[in-house]
Amino acid sequence: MKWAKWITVAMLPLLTACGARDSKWDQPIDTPTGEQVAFGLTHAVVILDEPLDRAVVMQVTKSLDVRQSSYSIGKNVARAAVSADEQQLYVLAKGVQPRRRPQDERPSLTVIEGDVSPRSVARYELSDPLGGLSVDPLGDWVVVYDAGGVVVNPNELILVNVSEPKRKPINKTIRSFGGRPTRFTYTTPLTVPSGEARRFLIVETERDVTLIDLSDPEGPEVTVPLPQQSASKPGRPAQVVFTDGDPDDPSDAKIAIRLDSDSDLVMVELGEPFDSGRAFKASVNVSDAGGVPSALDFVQTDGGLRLAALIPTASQAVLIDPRTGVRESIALPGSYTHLARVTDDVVERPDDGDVALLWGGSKQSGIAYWSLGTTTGKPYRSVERYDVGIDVGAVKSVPGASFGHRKILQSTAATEFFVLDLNARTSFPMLTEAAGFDLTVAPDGRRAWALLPQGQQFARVDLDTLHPVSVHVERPVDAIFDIERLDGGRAAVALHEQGALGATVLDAVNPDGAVTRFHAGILLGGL
Amino acid sequence: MLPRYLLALSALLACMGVAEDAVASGPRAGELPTPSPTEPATDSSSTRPLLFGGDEVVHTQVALGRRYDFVTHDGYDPYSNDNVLGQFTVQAKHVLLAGGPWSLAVTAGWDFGGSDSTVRGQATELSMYRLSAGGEARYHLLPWAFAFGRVAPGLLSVSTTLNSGSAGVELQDQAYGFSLDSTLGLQVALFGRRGASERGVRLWGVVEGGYSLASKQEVRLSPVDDAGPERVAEQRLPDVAVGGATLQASLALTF
Repeated sequence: MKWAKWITVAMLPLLTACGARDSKWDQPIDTPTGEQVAFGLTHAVVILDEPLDRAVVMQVTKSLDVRQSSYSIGKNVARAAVSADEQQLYVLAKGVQPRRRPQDERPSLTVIEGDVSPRSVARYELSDPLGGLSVDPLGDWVVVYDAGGVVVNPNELILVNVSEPKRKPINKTIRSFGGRPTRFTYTTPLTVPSGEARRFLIVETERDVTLIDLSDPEGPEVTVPLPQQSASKPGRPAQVVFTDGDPDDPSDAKIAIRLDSDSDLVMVELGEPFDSGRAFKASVNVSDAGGVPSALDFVQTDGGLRLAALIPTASQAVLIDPRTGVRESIALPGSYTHLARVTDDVVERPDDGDVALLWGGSKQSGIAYWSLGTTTGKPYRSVERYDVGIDVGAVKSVPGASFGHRKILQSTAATEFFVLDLNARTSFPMLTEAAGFDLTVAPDGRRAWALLPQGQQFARVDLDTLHPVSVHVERPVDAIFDIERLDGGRAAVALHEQGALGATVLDAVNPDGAVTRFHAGILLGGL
Repeated sequence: MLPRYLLALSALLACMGVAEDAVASGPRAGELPTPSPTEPATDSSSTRPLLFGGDEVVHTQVALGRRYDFVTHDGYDPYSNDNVLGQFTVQAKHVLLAGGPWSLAVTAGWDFGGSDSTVRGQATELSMYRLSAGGEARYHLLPWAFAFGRVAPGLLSVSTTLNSGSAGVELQDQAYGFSLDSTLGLQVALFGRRGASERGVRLWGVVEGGYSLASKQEVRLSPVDDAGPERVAEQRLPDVAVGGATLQASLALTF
């Protein structure tokens, strides 16, 4: 029966050829409404392609062509965040939940670097499927939190030292008195009485604040109980600020905590320890601000370090001496609710104090400059009000040294925004066609982009000349990113969340609607 | 996988060769007699019914059929939910040489077909044309049936389209390549079962299977006639090669 054997051999390829195609071709283009799926890094735009468990990295060449690569990010993405220097994207994935088989993917944190040569820098396998992600502005740590499951330990944190990719994530449960983490603050290195300067992770819960020494994250943490607002209502932290104090004094690093709807201010001093085995001792003091503060920061004044707090209900600010607790009130020309130190951004600085910018959101139109030191030609601790005609809801800083003295004042309620020059104390109105523009500042600090989402027009504002250029593209734009091209130039990438995701790419420095490149089907690339 | 098919093909041809040694009574090796259509037909059934040494009627054949290629190349996935590429096939054959149970024909074929699918919700389509020419060796088993092996190189044209939701237009590409069909088949007379050496129109059923090699072609899709947004960049999809195991059935007329 030789012939039967040969027929079997001949039929074999036919039998094996009838397979179905790879399921990747049938995966939908899933762009969840309201969830950010595209992130700008220095040299790339990264798009999360969740149905295929991958991140698509787009780079732009001189000819405005796109170079794509993709990296696995794990299943069931919970959150993604960009590092402060915009070099890396952190993607938190819950993995297969519930896991039924040993080979089911575990929760993970993937770090993707969007440099000239993009790559997946690290993939940390995590023990639990957590849903929250907090990123250290200095780029050393990422904290994963917010557990979910049948039994939840909300105070369980996973600390990942992303500056040392080979180091294992650290599981840590912070001591709890009934609260759960709501916000994280990473300090700069603070000098302590014993040992080297160290950074702290300050964890705010609904009722207390925890300090984790990042030089010894597995060591015991310090829990700071907050004063009760009433017998049944614990104090709830609203803001945390810190200072290293006098650089020559290792025992004056301080952390101040503003409470929600409470006039009490909690001051934590990292002073001399009683126990020689410890590096510091946290001492807690409570000061009364004289009203419910809305913003807080440590400032340098001509009288020394002070804790500044804005009391909008009284249209005043208070300066509290952290050593003595002595409070000094300063009348403000309005109910300002927000405060930002801009000392490093201005040329004309007081000799021995900070400069702060004040704005009031919907409660107070315009801005005010608050000079906290002695300045030639300026009144002592002067507050100068500037009415720019809008309620300033947000102040965007401009990165880099070139135009750091410029700020963008944004209000969602008005059809204009302002470019503020801190040096000249002038503001330049930029009129828009409609309210609701998204304003972004290029990472190189030379341009701002104004986009009305789902519109076909956007504008670039040169932060040097303040010359706006409007660009009309042929498809509605959902987001715009200003990235460095592979040849060193700059490119603007306007994303269109239609179909398989399209992008219009143009030169960012000299944008011209007639010199663009349209790329269709970004999410079909690399399949 | 390919060498296995070729091995099977060569082995089957070798088997035929053995059969030929066993039954050949016609010309010596290397001597294929000139066909003589004017010679009277012999009653093959009474003597050696499987052989027509020197009596093969030169005939021309046209066939129309359906062909299925089982394309396993990953590049075909965007255009089909399975591996099947259905085509219509038109073939013409003409016997040049005949001797004993063997004859040799030249063939020309035109296959056209396609498939459609979606890629992540975007409609796609692939259409192909194949123009081939080659040779066919036949071994006559019965007056009304013969087995054959066919080898036919060809030119391929593959067109692909993607209905791009983001561009709002259809993107297209067309590429040319080469193919090589290697098949074995069986042809059976369905109507007019007279002696194979008799003249006249006959209807045949043909089945054949084998392997079709096809060159890999790049897919660079772009809008047609400047439709859609200005300066649309090429959309790349994976390179595609529409080769694979092939199976076809057709009806043929000989005359």
